[in-house]
Amino acid sequence: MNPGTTNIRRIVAFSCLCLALLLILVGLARSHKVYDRVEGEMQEFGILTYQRVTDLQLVIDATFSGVLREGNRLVSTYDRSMPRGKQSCPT
Amino acid sequence: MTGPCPEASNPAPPECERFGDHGGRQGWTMDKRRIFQIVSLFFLHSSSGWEAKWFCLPVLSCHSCSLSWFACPIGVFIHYNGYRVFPFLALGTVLLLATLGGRLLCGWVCPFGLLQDVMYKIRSPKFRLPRWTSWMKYVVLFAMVFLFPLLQGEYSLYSFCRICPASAIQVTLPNLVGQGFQITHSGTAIKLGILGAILILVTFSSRAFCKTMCPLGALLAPFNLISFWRVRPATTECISCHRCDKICPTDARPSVKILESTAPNRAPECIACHDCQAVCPKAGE
Repeated sequence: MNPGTTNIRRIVAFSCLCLALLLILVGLARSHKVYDRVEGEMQEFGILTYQRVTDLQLVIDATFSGVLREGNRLVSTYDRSMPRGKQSCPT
Repeated sequence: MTGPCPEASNPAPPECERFGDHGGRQGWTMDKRRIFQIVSLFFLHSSSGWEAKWFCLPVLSCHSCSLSWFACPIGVFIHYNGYRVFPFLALGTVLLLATLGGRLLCGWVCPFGLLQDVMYKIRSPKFRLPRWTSWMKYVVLFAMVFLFPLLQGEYSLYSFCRICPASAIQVTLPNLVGQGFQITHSGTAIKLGILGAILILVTFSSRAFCKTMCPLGALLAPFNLISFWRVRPATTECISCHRCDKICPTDARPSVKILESTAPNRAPECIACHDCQAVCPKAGE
């Protein structure tokens, strides 16, 4: 095999590895605004409450549709103050 | 099982190809993979309470299964596209494992891969799919994992989760049994129909789903070209007997790479099963 090709392959592989680690680090540092469902009086007065959710938690929420997109906001589908337990995705 | 294949330079008889029985050290290499696949199957689906679903393991195993430990990257990408949020963590973990191993997990860990390997052992006429069909999985990846969920949201009817055969086995079928086999949604019937068609197809053509439809395979395939995992050719003096081509479950034509003195897993279709090493008559010489 051409040694030049091998070197290019190694450079690309190491670049991908660095990019992967960078993405993981950024992911670990990131958080997302997830709004609570608006009900009752809060709906009447237009009060919105949200929680900061880590990317780790958002991945977990994605496995059972714990978060939905409504308009431009991410909205929680369950009460985050309660213990969740195992849930499955409705799709 | 049939007896061991003769060590001649002629292509292996069909019965040896079908059952992968090549005796001695060579047979052990294939058995090792099968053992690893079975252990992985039980390990991946043994979560009784605690789970690690923040981690995306790039194998086709539905995270909606109540016994699964890890998240499915395809399902997570579909949801993140629906959320219009960039999946830093999910993409990072997939990129990391893909760069380290390429499609190694497809061959050694993927539970749906194991099912396809088992189905292919059923005695039936065998055929190879045309090579152009391997491009279909890239269309599936682009359209059903990225485009439609991005345009229509995570509940798009055209997302891959809606037709995923792994999800059909792990989630749809158990739910159907729980509901007394009452199909109340046309989507359920379509999903099960697709599962049935895939199971029939993989009986006739080895790893047909991996080759033609698997979006994870499409995602990981380009990383075969650069991954740190390397399948060493069994010999530097290839005699072009093409036994490796015949045994290859994904028709990746390892002999072409071996003749170029390149690792056989540098082909995008290769699942690093190492079967080409195991059947080489020049191995160990």
